[in-house]
Amino acid sequence: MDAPPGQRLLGEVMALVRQVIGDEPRWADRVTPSARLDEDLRMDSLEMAALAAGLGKAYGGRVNLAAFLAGLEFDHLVALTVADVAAYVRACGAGEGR
Amino acid sequence: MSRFLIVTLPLAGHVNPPAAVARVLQERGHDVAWSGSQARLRPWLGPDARVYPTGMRLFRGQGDNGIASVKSLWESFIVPFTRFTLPAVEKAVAEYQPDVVVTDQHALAGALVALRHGIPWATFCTSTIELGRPFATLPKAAAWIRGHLATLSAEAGLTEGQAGDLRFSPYLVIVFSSGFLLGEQGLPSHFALVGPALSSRPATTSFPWDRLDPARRHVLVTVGTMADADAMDFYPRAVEALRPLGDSVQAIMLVPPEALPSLPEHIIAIERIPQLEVLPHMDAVVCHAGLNTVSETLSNAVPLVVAPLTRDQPINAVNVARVGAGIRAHFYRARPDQLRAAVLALLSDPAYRAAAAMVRDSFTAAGGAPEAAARLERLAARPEPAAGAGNWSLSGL
Repeated sequence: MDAPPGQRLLGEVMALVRQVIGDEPRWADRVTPSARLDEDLRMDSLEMAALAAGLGKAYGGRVNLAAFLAGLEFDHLVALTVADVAAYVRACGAGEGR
Repeated sequence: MSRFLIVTLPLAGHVNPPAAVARVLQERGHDVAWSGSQARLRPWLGPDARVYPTGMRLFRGQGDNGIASVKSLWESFIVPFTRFTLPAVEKAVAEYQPDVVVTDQHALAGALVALRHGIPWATFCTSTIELGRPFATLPKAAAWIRGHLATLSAEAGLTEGQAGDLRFSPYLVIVFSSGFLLGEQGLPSHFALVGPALSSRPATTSFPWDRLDPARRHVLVTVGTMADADAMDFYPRAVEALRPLGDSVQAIMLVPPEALPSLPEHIIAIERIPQLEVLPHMDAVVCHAGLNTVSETLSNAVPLVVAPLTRDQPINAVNVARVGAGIRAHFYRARPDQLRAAVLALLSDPAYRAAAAMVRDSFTAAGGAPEAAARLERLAARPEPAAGAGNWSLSGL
């Protein structure tokens, strides 16, 4: 049975994050839906840029992570999770029905 | 003769550059006093410095990383520290009657008091976190900081027009780095990028010079004390990175020896060193890109591996890599083989050292503490805001 589209998309975004931060278990195992990119995964600017590029490549130009971040309040930026990124991708109408 | 009141934060990196400038001012016959924590400043400034005490309070939230560290810097440190010290800075100004207040960019009480009393004031940028504009593409985070500035100004009875941007004096902004390293061109003329003000701090620490083997290259690894469990394995990873290089490399790690038991012969763990004396003997430095260590290292034309953690460290790391004077590494994720490759690249490719020498030359040309003192003297003699400074703003702040 296929996972529902939202779940599948979340899995794809998690895989993309793991690709960016590397496959060492100490970090890869922390990539969960509720993991915060900043405080939990310690993603730096290079990794955020790599994630943005990866999302753009996977889901097309409508998905613009930098523009999404630019619209966020400081509290949300600090607390941004993997699931939040997946929800943004979904809200762009990307990653579904494929 | 003029009277300068320096308002600063109780942190070494915020005291040492102003102290170097203060010494030059005093040599030229001026009078200098300080406002800050007596207990913290005294050991750095010596028994003769005049210090108007502000008291000292511990503030939490010093351990965060990344963008969270900037948020906690403001809400857990800068804002409460400003409120806490404001009455003491008022008192210092009333008693000392300075001609010029010189305030650390994040010791905002100095700016508020100077503005309240119409005293000319200058800013010391002892970090790169504001000029580096970490929120250039994150406008709501930048606005959140401006909101705190507006609140503090209003509490001090200043209108927005009177206060301006408390982080940047309209009279004079002294930046302890160079335009070349910061990648800054075309800042207004009231910005003085003077380079690091390296003091001739007396060396109070000894060093086992006889252990340095002149036949080998030397690498200093210094990433500070690590409270964070994730950070504690940086030194062990650095040990693994350098372990196979004993034939050609000796390493000094700034860590208590008991923290790294059974080290190979070529790796020396030592808790404190006279860093300014040791750096000229180094061929590469591995650090977390704090501004002091970056500046001191590049002043000796030594290239760096920069593994930033917090605050302005990521900005400094980007700058070091941009000018070609070093290699960025991920503090938490860099594997030993990656750290080894980075160190070997610095030791084998002369381009890194050449770029580091260009930074050193930019520092020399910038003038350091004497140039900062000369600019402050000129401000005291002609205390006027820079033309257009009132309307001026840096994009991305």
